Amino acid sequence: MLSLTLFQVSTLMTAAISLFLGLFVYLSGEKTKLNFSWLLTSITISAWALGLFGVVFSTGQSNAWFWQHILDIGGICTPILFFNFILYLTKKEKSIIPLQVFSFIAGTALLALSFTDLFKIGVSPKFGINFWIDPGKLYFLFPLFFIFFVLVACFLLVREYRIATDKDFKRQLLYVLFAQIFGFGGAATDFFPQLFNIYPFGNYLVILYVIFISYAALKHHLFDTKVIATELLIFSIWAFLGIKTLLSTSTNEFILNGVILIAVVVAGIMLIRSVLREVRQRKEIEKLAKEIERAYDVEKKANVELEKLDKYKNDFMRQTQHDLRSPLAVLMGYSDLLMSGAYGKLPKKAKEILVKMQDVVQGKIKDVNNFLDTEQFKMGKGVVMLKPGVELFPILEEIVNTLISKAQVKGIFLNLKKPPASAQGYGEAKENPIFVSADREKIKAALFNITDNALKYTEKGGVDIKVETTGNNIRIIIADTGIGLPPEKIKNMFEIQFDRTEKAKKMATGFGVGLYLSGQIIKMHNGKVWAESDGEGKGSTFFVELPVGGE
Amino acid sequence: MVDEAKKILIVEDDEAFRSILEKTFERTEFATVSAEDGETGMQKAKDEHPDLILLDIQLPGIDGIELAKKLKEAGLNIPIIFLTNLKDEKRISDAMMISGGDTEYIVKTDIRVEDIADRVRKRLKLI
Repeated sequence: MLSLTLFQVSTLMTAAISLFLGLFVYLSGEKTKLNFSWLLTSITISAWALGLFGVVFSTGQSNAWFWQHILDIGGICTPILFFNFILYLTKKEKSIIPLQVFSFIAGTALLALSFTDLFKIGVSPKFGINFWIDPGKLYFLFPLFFIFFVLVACFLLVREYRIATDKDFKRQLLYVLFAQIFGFGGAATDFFPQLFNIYPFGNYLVILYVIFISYAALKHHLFDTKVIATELLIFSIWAFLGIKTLLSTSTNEFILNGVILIAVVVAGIMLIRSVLREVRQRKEIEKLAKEIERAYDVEKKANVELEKLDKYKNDFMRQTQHDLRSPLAVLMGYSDLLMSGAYGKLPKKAKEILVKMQDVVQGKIKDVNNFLDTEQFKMGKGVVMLKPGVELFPILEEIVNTLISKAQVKGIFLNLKKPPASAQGYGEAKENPIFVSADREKIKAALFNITDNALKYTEKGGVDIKVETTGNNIRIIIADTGIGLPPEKIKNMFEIQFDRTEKAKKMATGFGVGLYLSGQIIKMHNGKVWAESDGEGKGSTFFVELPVGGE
Repeated sequence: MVDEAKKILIVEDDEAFRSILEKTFERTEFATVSAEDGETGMQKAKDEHPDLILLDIQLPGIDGIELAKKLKEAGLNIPIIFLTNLKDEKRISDAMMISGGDTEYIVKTDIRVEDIADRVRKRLKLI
């Protein structure tokens, strides 16, 4: 008899919990159509379960017959109302009106039919259960109707689940779907005895439906029940204590109960408030999280845009470099060849003109280099690539070869002092090569700028370049006999500055960033650069110190 | 025994600059062969057995860096001095990687023609 008892218990529990859930959600929650349709669905499920309990619990046939009517009314109404509940949940209530109307018409017709003997002819004992329905000729319409609407609801849920983006909503849909599969799947086995002569084993599963919906409600805020649950709990304690106070038998007890009631009311209000606050905060946090997600998306897009822009900029810079340097390199190359007599001997006057032209070209090359280097440094791309074993002396020679004509035009000297000869050479004394760890082209540009600057500010005398080795450092000393430097200028000699004094304008052209760049490049070589001067008119000396970087 | 003249392969698409280089080397002990694009450069590197390649980075079609890579793949370990109008760190460091850090480059505007031959001599350890 245990199975019967279990059957009874499960149906009774389904009835009770279902009714409780529906009322609970509707009475204390928002009065939305969704919650109302949930209440109606719960009532009919409860009616069906209660009817089922009545039928299987009854001992007399007339009692069982009465409960069978309740069972059928609940059973026919449930799929219609559940289908409508799903329409509200998936927000499709306005898009499938014909099907909605059909559900009501078919449901009403079936309800009317259920009272005739075309639907059921009686109740009789089956499978050890007290009573079970004996179906009429048109009873099969009920299972068809039932399965049809449950499948449509199922389809709507699955479709909504696939397109939904909100994680919480997705989870809610999933739980409702599970609940539906167990609940309606289980309930459908109640058709088995009268149709296939099989025991309605799935009825126990209906209880799972209730559990799933409850879990979804509590855990995933299906009906935003946290506030509701708290309110319900508080109100029932208040009611209980209120009644207890009213039923007090003595004044003392009344006062005591009254005090407890007031304390609990105050505590209850605080509790409800705190829960409300928590729920609000949770919603706020969810909103913020979504905003952050959106902001993150925007940022990601912006980054892609920036990368694209950066690429355009780099391409543009590359093209600019090419376009600016190519003609200058050609001009310089041809004039060098002309000068050296590669195309025949030139008269002295022509050579003088060529030197003047070369000075102009050289000036332009310097401007272009400064401009481009500054741009590159600004873009953070002025990284030097140090290579060990770069020979210093040929670099200085190349600089002097380039600038010598400029010095000659000005009538000043530009000397490069050879390093001391090696003592252990056989026969001819060989130069002792000095190696530095350097980016050859970069360090050359830096030293070029400093030398060029020295020439620029020297009108009489000239510029001496020499190299000294001091411990682990190599010191390049560029000394001029020029206008000298006031002490205040020595300090920020290698900062960005635009020399706009009249004196400077008269003497030279350029962008005025050469020394700044030189300083940056030398710093990147782990070197030092500074200037010394005895004052205005007494010449200046520039010191560049680089660590030894031999092979 | 008389040393045969060292041969320089010049791969440069700018016709004017190429003729400057040819003229420069004409007056030295070096012999030159020229190519105006990467494909021809590759062919000449195979056929002419140059001792050194002056290789422009910006070339139509196969660029200088690509060509250096191909030469290496073909097992032709010829010293290369890149010529460039750019001080483009990334591309130059790419070039360095190809030849195991042994690559030199010359920014065309930063060197006088008479120094180019010196750089070549130095690279070939002739001085």
